Amino acid sequence: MKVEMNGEVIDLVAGSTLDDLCRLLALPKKSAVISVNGEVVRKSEYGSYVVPDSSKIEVMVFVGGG
Amino acid sequence: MMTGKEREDLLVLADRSFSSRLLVGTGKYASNDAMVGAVKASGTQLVTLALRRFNPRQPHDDLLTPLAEAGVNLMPNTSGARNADEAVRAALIAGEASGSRFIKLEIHPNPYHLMPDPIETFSAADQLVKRGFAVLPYINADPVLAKRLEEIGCAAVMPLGAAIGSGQGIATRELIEIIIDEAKIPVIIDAGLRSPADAAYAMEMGADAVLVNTAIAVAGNPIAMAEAFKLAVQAGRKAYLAGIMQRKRGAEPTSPLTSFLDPE
Repeated sequence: MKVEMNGEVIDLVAGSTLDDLCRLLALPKKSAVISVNGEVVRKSEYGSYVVPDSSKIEVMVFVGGG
Repeated sequence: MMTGKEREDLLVLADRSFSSRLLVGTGKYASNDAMVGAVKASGTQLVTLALRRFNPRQPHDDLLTPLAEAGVNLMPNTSGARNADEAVRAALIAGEASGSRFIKLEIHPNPYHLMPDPIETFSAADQLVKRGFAVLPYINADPVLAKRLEEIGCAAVMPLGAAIGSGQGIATRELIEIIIDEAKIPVIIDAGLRSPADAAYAMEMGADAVLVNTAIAVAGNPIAMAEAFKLAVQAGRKAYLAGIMQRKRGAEPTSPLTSFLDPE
């Protein structure tokens, strides 16, 4: 299935969870905060949250800042 | 020897107490290692960080693990937000990502001067306080705004000494003095500090803490500079508590002027 991740269309296996997405992006789960279709998903739900087809996903990470 | 008063001299922000009165930003460092080294050398217990979109084409340098190992508390900022709606959204995301109630609220719509928008800041602060955040708004040195933010429940106010990253020191001295005189919540001088002398001066004025980023990050030796800021903040605070002498117009002798040798 196709989903939009930070403005880019990517392929994701149907039934993928947000844990799977983090693995695909080589992103440590604790570094990421993910919103799906405008809703922030709790980290504790990444393992069980199945990404719906055609979702709009925003992945944010912490960077240095003042 | 430390007196009881000094031993109990803690910075209280919301429901947390801190023995360090130096907050440190994590931006602009040449490397993560330099940043973590400076954070440790500064003795800080509260650091700021920013949230950005993940770029799959750039390797992600994980900040959270080394900061957790350093044992510091996290305070995400809302930098990049241009209005209250964006700042509230950023704060909700940052709160989930960091697990921290602390949020440094900064809304600066103009990338040239980065001056904080007081109207949007007030609106966002009100919404975030109601959602349970410990809100620390970055503001211009405006005593009226500072008081209004205190009244709606902000954990502290963070008036600027000068423009972000400018190294102009405490250009807003007179206004910050008024804010400090009137505030019942901590006043943290944020932005503009250039050298440890500025930090010591801020603390001597009665500021409760300072937040430093650029002055440490761009120093020739950030780790040494971080320690210098730590010592300056401690010195300034100690001087403030000790009671600084009043300025006088004329001289006042330190040695007795009487009973000298008999005039011949």
